[in-house]
Amino acid sequence: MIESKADIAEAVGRIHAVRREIAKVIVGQDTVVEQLLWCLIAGGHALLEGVPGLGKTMLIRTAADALDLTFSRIQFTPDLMPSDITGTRIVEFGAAGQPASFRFQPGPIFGNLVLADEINRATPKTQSALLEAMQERTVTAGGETHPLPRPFFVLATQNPLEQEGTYPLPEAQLDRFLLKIDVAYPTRAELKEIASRTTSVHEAKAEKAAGADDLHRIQRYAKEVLVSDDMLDLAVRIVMMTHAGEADAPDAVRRHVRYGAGPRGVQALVGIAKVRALLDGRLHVSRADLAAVAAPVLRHRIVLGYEALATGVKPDELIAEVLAAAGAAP
Amino acid sequence: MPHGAQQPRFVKLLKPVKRRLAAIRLVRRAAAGLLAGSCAALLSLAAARVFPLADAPLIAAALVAAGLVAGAAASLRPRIDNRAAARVMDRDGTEDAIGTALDMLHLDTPVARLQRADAEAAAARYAAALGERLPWPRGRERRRYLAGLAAVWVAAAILLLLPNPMEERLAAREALSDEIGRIEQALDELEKSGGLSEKERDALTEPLHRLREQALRMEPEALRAEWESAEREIARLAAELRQEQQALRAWAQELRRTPELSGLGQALERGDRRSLAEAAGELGNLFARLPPEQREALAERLRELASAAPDMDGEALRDALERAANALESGENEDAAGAISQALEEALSAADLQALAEQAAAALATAGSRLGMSGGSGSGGGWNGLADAGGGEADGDAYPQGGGRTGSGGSSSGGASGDGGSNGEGDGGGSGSGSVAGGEGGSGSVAGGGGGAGVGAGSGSGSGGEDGPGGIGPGAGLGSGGRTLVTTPRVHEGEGEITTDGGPVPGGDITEGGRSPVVDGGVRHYEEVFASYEADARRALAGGTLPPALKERVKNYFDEIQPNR
Repeated sequence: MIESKADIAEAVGRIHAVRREIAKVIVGQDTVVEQLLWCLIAGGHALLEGVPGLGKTMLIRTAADALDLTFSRIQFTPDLMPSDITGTRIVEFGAAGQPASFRFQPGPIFGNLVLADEINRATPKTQSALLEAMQERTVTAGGETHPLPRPFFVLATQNPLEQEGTYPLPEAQLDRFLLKIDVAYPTRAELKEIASRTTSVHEAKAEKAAGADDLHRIQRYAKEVLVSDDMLDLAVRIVMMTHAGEADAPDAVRRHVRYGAGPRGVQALVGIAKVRALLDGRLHVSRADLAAVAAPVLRHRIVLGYEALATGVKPDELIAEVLAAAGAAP
Repeated sequence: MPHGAQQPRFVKLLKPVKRRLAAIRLVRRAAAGLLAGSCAALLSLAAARVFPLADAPLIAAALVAAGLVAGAAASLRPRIDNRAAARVMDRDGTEDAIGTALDMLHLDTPVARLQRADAEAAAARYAAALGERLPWPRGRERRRYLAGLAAVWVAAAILLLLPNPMEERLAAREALSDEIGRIEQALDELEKSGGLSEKERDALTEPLHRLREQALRMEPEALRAEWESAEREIARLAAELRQEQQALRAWAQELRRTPELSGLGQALERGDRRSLAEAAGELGNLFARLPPEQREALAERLRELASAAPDMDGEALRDALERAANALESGENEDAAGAISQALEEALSAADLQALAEQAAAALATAGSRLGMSGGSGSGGGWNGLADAGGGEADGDAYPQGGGRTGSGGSSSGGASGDGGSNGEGDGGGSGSGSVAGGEGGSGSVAGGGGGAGVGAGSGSGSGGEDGPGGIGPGAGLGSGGRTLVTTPRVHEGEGEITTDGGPVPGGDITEGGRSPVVDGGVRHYEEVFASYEADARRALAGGTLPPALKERVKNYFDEIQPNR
């Protein structure tokens, strides 16, 4: 529980330290790092989308290092089976004269920070196994339920370029990701720095800046952040305005959106806004927080119509319209 | 906040913000109201140039004031409470800290207290820079507003300074209403005396009422047509009444030839009710003193007079005289006297009615000139238009309204120029006296009493009077216009004090008048006027309303004054 301003300052200092450690390895991508930390503090899962080679895997690994969390990586392929992720029961032969027994062999999902790389390459069956574990934070095998370690985060990546042989995630399952983080291409200066760092003898490595306990405490702090009625109203208004049928929805939404964000969208919006407020040293959510987190929270929850897909309308453009219409434009 | 706890400091810091917000809202809404009111005032002033709006400048001023007051009043609601002030602060500077703190006042957790402390600090910073955070309207917004307001006011000032033609119409309508009011008052008095029938009253007032209702509504052309129609109706009535009056006077002369009834005849000629009443009062005694043979002779004379009596109020006068004759024969002197008295008094009311008709015509002409109803065919604008239009009508009309109008004009010209006797319906005779009393104002006297004005209308060159038996009019005129042009008067004032004009002609009598019935007119050719009057006279002669003795006289008169003679 937050007792004083010092508690907040200490928490914020920890997170800033984590960022600094990550920044030792990851060049640029400040927004991605920030959103990734929001997601970790909010206790949700994130979907990272970006072309290959932008350092998504490196980012997650580095974050695990900085937070002193166990890291596991699953490369999704079409032949990946659910048990390859969750683990399986294996026969364990006992010593002489002892009967053999079954033992649960945990899969790679049993980690604090799980990287589900190219999640859209696995079959829906395997995807569902992962998503179920994400939701329940448990794995059931052989009639036994095995809780996943805490904290538990899944950071899935998607390659938006290759569609051949992929299984796009259904909208209902996308909704389970708290954020969808767009990983943008680095700038020229960042590319130069990447080239410089990765080709030298010196190998940068993130040191531990916070632990799981710190993370857990900061998560509790974030939940204590206060939200006024006006801000709750605004959050609801923003989410409702992503629905084409709403009276006050912007024209662009009416024209291009097939389905808008659901109740999980409001939860995510307010939860992430609280985290942002905390990291800003505040104990209350502001409209600026809601505006800042709206895009990563809502972009994967908005299902575009055919016309939008055909004309290349991006969800972020629609979210900007929604924010302007709701009076929360940054 | 727990019940009874002291109000947090950040809530107190909201007060100056609320005051400032209220003041800014007051200024903004009052300014908006002022602008709206000014625009409405401008529209009303513009509308007043298209539609007749009475007191348009006052209405405009009231609209401006009302806009200002309404704007100021609108700033009072909704009340600016803590929540509203917090929202304004949170939008600009306090990052929703105040709103959150207000919502969480009921919480007493460490987080809530810390957040309140944050809110207090933010509110203090905001209050310290209140002038910058909540500035008065300024910059381009204020300049645009002032420019707009100035433009509206300049436009309004221009509209106020430029003469508004509708004001003339309104004034004319008011004048018409006033005149109608006076006429109706006079009609009421006349009605009380029993000398006015409903039909006569309606005939006189209905055209005026109709015109007053429509004066401000109708299109100019339609209004002109309506105006001319009303003029014709009034003139027709006036002419009819004038004819009746002339016939009555002529008949009164017959009455005077009877010694016993000469007092009555004299009073009737003068239109003097009091004298008439006095003379009638003596009739009973007079009849009683008469020997039977004289009474029979008088009864016979009354029957003759009844047969020659003019058509007034149906056969009432004739019937009354017949009754009087019968009563006299049967020795019922008082009944006979009463019947005669009553009949003559009723007949005398026609004179009053005629004066009112003339007055109505004058009122119509006055208002007409203000309304610019000067179309017609006439020479000269303004007043002349009316007269000329009437004159034009007279040529082809069965009624001599042209004559009537110019006639009355003629009567007034005497007053105006002072050299025209004007009066005299031919038999007034006299060499022009120029005495139409009353001088300038005297036109009233001429018209009121003289009646008949204008038949001679200045045409006279001293005609007339040789054998006029005490002409009613004080002398036919030495008309100022000779026989080429007839000047119709422009003077139309006069309140009709009693004017006495003995005239140079022996037997000339007193002429009494009421208000001037004069209709303004213009200059018309004598031939035109003559033709109009002659036609009028011919119709009168053909109608048989004149006694035979007078018919010949009228005929001779017109022979005397014909243009080519």
